[in-house]
Amino acid sequence: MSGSIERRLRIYARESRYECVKQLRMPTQLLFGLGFPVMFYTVFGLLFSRGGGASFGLYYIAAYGAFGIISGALYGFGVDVATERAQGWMLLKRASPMPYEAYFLAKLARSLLFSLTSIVLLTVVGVVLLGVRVPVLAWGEMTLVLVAGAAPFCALGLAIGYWVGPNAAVAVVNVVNMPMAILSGLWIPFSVLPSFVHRIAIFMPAYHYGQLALAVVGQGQPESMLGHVLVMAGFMVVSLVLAHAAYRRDEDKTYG
Amino acid sequence: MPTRLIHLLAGALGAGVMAAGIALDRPAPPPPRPASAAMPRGPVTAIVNVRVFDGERVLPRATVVIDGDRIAGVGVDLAVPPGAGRVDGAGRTLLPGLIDSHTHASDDALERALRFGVTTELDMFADPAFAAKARAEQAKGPVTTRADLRSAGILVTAPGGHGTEFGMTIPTLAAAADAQAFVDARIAEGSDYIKIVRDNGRIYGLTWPTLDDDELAAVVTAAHWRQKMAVVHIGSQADAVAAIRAGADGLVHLFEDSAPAPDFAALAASHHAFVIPTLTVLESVSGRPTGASLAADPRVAPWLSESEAQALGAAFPLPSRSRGLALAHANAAVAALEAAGVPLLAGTDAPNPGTTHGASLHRELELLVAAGLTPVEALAAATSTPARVFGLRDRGRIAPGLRADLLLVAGDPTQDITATRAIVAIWRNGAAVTR
Amino acid sequence: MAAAVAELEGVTKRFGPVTALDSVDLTLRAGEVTAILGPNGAGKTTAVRLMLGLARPSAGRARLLGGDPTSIAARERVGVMLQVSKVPETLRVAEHIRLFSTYYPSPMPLAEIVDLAGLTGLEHRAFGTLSGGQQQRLLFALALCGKPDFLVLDEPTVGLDVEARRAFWTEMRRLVSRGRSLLLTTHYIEEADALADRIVILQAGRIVADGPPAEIKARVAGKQVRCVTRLDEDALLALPGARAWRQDKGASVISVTDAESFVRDLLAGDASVSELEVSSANLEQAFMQLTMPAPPVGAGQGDGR
Repeated sequence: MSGSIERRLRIYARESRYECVKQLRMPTQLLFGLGFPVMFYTVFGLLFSRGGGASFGLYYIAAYGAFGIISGALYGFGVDVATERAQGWMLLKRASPMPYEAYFLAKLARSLLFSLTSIVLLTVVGVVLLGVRVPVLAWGEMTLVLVAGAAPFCALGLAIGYWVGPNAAVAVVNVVNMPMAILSGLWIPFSVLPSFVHRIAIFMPAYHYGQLALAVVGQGQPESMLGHVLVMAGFMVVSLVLAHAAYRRDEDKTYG
Repeated sequence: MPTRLIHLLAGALGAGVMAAGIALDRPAPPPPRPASAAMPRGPVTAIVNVRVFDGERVLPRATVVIDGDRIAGVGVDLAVPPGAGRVDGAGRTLLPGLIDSHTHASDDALERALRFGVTTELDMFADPAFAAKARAEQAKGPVTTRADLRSAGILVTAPGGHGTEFGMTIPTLAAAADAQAFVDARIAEGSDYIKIVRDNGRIYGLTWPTLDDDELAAVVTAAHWRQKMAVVHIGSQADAVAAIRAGADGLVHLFEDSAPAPDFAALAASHHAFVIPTLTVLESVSGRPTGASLAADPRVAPWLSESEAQALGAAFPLPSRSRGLALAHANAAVAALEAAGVPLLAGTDAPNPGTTHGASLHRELELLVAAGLTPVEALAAATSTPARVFGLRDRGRIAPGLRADLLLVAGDPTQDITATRAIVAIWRNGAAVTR
Repeated sequence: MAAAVAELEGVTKRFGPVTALDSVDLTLRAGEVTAILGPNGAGKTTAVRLMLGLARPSAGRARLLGGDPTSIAARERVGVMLQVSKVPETLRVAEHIRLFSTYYPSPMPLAEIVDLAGLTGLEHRAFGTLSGGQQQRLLFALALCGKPDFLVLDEPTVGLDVEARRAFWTEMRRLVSRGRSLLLTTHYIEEADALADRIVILQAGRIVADGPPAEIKARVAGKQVRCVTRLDEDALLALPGARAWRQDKGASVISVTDAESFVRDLLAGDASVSELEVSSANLEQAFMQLTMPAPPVGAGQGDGR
């Protein structure tokens, strides 16, 4: 076994750093994952809360935060992985002495940075523009839940990224992302949606993700938290299995 | 290398876990009845040929069947089960057991309330030990001799603020940073919801320390974080606005210090807040003897005890500096709130001067109608609305499977609201109540 | 014998119904430059990928530096240049090199590798802004930055113009003079000739020739004599310098190393020979000839020296 732990860590650190640098140089992804939620939050917030609606503002920090993080995960793990596969870049990295896991840790690090930025931006807007008050502990717990809960969606992204080519990946992500978010109550609260939507929502991982975050700030539906966690965990396992199966299938594909 | 097999097994496991989670979060069925093995089951009773107000709508003529502690059936041509006791409903109206959304319970308050058809009280400040005893009894099985209780336990008020003047030594909230710990302590004591006081007493000519905006918001947030509702006692309109802005789920009083601002109702509506006007106690505070007419009403008087009759005739001992308080302001607010779709709940603030447990709710209904509600709207405010708002899914309406807390009155309260006082029969968890 | 840097032992690789490599045995030795030559679809890239642990054989075994090709320890001594279309375009040249350098235990300093790969002045340019040739040089830098003992280049000069290709060969010769091992795949015969100590020719998943360039070249270089003659295949191949024979519409086509002595003996052996043409063997044509399904008569299957 070559290389000390220190060198491993340095590889992880550098890989992560450049992954984040790449993200910063990708304006379209930033727009979608960060810009849109913040923009909508500001507009809807100003329209509906007229200078101070704590529960509305809180609800949407959690809801849009969840949406933004899901977007980031699906693009970062889905579209980017598909692209890097198609470019042959991933093959070159696999031929290099890069430890296999460094690639995924770097993408996770990028997801983490992206998630935190998203939540902080939304919170700042909420506090400054909409007068939302969030106690530090509750905010910290919500952030933890949102950041940790990104994992199943990273796994879903991986499954998409390994199964299809880059153009198809973009299409799949777009088809999955927005409708799932709407049906999961991340854009419009359930109190406004017709009741049948709630019955569909419980099949969506994004719904359970959102509910876990909303519960922290007292805005969730009165349901079993264990149920939410189970759905997320099961979903992650299924996604990882799909991703691995696709990866294996990749290995065996005919090369030119 | 059975990779395929591993994939299949892992995938199946993941899917199974997901399914379990989804099943756990399925929209909940009505809550199960408490274990009632020790309690004897009540008889089967059928109230036939009766007008029914089911909590939301009026059925001109129907039969309602009670089996044990539950409503077994409601229908126009419902067959009466053999052996069932029959109650003739002709010329009478069946209502869901009434819910008083703002009381202070102690001693025999819950027994007295039941005698006037109030089958559930939502207490807004009581001794936690008293509430705990009531809860324990309710958990053991269907209670039939007193009203059901939900309680806020000890209210949240500033040091020296309103709530500390009653002789009970209670903990107070000194700073916003203590809010979470304070709320957690109340929940540990058993509070079903958190009641907060925001009232400096000026409108009554008093001076009370009270919570500022930061403290108010901190308590509301802390309550929500524990998934409990936060309701607020307010004094002035400014207090009401502050409470709504702080995210309160509801106000447990209306204000009568000023005419409601044009956007007040919209503010409450946009924040999804509910309001318990407590017109009865507001009338008393503004100087009018609100309970006197009740005490004189022949449909009520025979069931009042000596002390109850006296209490009804009393009024608030406030300095005369409480001018400018006019029930008309509160009435105007009620009308505006109703028009804006804000949920209104009937509550009395019993047993304050001029009020008693149970009987005063009928006065509250009368005052709500005088303020502009239709009798049906007023009846809903004492039945289905508080049940919905406070999550009491097993009561507040007359429908199969729900609790048999029922009130049978002579006449038609959906036309003349005072008909609620003409009580013919009361059922509490399916058992007939002796008045 | 020198240590083996890479081995395929009885390797077969199938992709569904297609057999890309069929029972191939190949051992690459340290200090050698080997070129794997073959038309597209011959299995060159597959062979390289198996050696690098990027795919697993359906049968047989692949070794890299004496060990498991997927081990990081082996890969730390190997530098690879694949037919990658793009690397992340938003990252800069220096960033790419720095990142790759961290994978290796003792990489070359940045300035040195930049100089070696001819990327001086381009360090802060994003990959997407480089020309084709510059991009190729960056991929080359990534292969070298770890000071590898074994360098693997998969079709490294595809898309380069003739000048750039020649410059690349000069560079390569300089590098391997330091004792590195090099494996190169290509379909340019001059490239194999310019660089390799040993040429392995793959066709349809099988090795059809394996030997030093001179030997291979002899088979495919030289001249071509076309004539109508009554001499048959055996007689013609017995003539001096005759290498390979085929029929083409009633005429005989013979590859020869020395046209003059062959023709002299041909005329002596058949005075009635007609339609005589002598032309330079077209390299590509001849190469394809060599890799036709039936190996040419008289061509020995190369094995180790």
